[in-house]
Amino acid sequence: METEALLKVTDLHVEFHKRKSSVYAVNGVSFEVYKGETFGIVGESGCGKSMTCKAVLGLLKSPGKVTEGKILFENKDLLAMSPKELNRVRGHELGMIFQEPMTALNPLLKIKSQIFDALDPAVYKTKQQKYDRALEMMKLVGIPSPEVRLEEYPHQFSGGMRQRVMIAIALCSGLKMVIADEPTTALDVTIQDQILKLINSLKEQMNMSVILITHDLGVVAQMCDRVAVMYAGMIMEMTDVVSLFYHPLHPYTTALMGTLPSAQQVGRELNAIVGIPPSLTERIEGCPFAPRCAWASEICRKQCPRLTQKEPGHFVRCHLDNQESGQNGGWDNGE
Amino acid sequence: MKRTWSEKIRRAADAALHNKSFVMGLVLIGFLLIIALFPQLFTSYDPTKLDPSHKMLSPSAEHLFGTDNYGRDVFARCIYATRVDLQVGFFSAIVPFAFGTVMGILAGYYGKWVDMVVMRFLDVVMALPFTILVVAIMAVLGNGIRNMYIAIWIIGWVTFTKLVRAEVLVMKNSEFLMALRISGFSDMRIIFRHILPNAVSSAIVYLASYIVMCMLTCASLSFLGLGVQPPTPEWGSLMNDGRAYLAQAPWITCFPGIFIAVAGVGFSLLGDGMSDFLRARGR
Amino acid sequence: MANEKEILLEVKNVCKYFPVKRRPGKFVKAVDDVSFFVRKGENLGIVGESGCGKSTLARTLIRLYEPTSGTIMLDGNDISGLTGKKLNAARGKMQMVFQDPYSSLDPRMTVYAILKEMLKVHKICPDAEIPEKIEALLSMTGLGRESASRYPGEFSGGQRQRICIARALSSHPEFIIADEPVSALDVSIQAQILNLLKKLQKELNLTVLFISHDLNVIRYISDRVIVMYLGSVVEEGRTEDVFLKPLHPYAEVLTKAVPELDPKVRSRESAIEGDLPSPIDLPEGCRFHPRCKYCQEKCRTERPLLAETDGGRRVACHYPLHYQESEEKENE
Repeated sequence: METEALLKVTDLHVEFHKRKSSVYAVNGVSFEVYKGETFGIVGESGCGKSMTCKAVLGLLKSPGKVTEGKILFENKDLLAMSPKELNRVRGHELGMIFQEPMTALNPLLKIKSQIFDALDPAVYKTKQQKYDRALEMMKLVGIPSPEVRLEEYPHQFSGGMRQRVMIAIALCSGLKMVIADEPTTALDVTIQDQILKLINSLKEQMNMSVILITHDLGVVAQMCDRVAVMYAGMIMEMTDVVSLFYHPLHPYTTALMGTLPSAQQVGRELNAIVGIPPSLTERIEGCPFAPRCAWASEICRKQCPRLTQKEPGHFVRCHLDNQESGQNGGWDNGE
Repeated sequence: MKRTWSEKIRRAADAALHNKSFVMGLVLIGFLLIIALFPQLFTSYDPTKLDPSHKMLSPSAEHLFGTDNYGRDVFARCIYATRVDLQVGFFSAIVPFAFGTVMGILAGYYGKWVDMVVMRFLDVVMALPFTILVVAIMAVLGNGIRNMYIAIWIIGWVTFTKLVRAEVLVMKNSEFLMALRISGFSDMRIIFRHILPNAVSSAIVYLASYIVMCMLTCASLSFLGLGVQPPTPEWGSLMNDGRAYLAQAPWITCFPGIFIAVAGVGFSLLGDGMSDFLRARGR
Repeated sequence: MANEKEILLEVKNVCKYFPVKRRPGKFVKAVDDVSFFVRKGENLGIVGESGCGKSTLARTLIRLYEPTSGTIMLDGNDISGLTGKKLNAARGKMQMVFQDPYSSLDPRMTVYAILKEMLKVHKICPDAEIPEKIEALLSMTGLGRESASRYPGEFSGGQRQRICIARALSSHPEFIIADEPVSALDVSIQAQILNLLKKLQKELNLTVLFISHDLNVIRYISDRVIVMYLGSVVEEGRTEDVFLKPLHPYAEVLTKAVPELDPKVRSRESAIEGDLPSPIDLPEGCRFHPRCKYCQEKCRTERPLLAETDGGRRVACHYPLHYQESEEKENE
């Protein structure tokens, strides 16, 4: 892995202000994604993981707005770009794979034309060049009999095949980075397995970086190199994937892992996290996880901790010492 | 533990009063209702009394809206017409609303032949303009306000049916309805306690604009001489009366027109506001 | 020990076919000749991918759909032909919890009214005891007293699922069908609901049919499991047996496809190639053969029947995995 940061997000804030209500969706998120790595963002619904990535891609819907922060992609400031420049970056350097492949494809156009439209006209000039590239991409994402399938419409494809087409469209321009927002959530386990393996092999072949947004810790364990755990619009813990699973430091991370039903848990009660995530309609004082945290103390309720490096490359947003939470909630891998 | 009725009403009223268009509509319609109930409070003139010595006077302090070609006070005629028009709007709309809603639920919930019959009838009615159909039916039945009601009733319900049926069809495949069915509830209970309250809101909203439509239809029919017969004052027929004198005495036509417009705007605002808070509640 | 327990639900050769629009004479065989039983107090899991017929099966069992053929025996009575009042009475004994807690409650009724209606329709207790009973139901499902006067729209997803559970329990059912009850919930809330279901099942001695696509959830909560593929049962057995030593190749694929919660154990190969075939034109022979890596000639032509193997397990495969292995052990 190279150490050069391809994407650098610093202190990102995303807010939604309507006439009567406001939502503070992302509250000071900073991370870096290096060349060739898979960076996972994991969290429950409403934790701001999707908003963060929409902000990076400039796809926030009004009234959503980036109120603070910097997004540098290859040292170019995405927030300062004109819509035209941004479109060029989005199409040809930074791509996205959505959760629901059916809604992201145009039902009235043949797959062929949708891939053609995504190709860079500067590189693929003639129809034949475009067709060859489209065929190549269809083969690459493992669609059987691609010559026939290119002439078909999205509704003739199954969910898994549609997601493959989406990946083909996203990757056909030779991207440097792809953001996959819950790419397998709508799919069955066996198809999920195929798509995840496909993303992994394509990533290696094309030497891309991948940002993988998911709520599924199993997917994180299988796919990611480094992981950020988000809660209430903040990164609570960020580290490499092995440390996250074997040596988590934040109480939320340990609690989250305890809630997962698994073979080791059979016959035992699951360690459910009490309560529900906070609503983000107002700014939260103190640590957002404090109301649900078993180790919360006075200071947790008053002051929000900073994201600090507690071990090399291991960032945690918590007032507690590593030992306390680590010991009590440590993830026993059942070895 | 139980939520009392007074509390329920208070909550509903609270939601309603926070809705600007609903409140404005309510004020306008409320005002018209008061006029309809107590016309003598607003004018001392008799709306049908002829007075040949005061023909076609322009508006003045004595005759606010002037007088018509028979010397009748236009203001008094507009005021007394309010009751007739509101009645017409209400009676011609309420029957199609009730019948159409029930048919919509039956067609949506049971489907099959009930649905077939209702939908074919709906196709026919929707293919032709409302007023023309009413006129056609009245050509068979004859003139008069009673026949006008019958004509509007015969064709008016299909729109309500269409609206309610669509809502029920959405509900039919939802887990909501499945949960009700496996709860062991009877069809009647499911239909009237659960489906009806949830499916009726769009029909209620439409009812407000439908009342306006009925009033306008009545006005146009009266204008054509088919609906309310003279000398009963009615906004549409009042306008018709003034038509011949539009150049000399425009007030005979204009002022009833303003009343129609006010009623129209009032009901539309009411419907608009209701659609907001009927949908918002519970969700 | 478990074998001696009474059987509560027995399903025999149940089929549910849906006619295909615009293709007269063609049917989607959503549930095709399914037979199984559930013992009293047991938690039976049904697992499979979308389109395998697990939800259709659940809805057929509770008679939301008319079975095309077959019998459904609940506590010794055939409920597959019941209609009207008799069916409604039988429904008090079996209840269902749905996937989407947001859409399965009447938004215009308070929690109190929702529960009261169930208690009254099924005549569970005299009117005077209703408030008391409702309070008991609420505390049983972990909801506060104050929730009674609120509307479903005022609750979060997890709490709504608790309301749905309270409603299902209010008619004193013996048998609960839970159709993906935690799939719409976040993991931290999912654990709360799973704990609740487990606790209630024990306390009330409920029998549960738990449907899920999530193998980890089934593994955690179910005593026995049925694996379905394209409308039929391919394997049935005790959960741990099926997960540790699957006999059917499809069951093996399913267990392997679940992402392992350990970053140090990563596989590069996908567990299975290919897509689900169209449910209208099912493959000849074994329905799984086009995707099966152990497929042999016989599999292409002859459909394997669900047959009993050792230890009360059933499998529909000509060449079950681990089978010879376990036979050898027995011989030793």
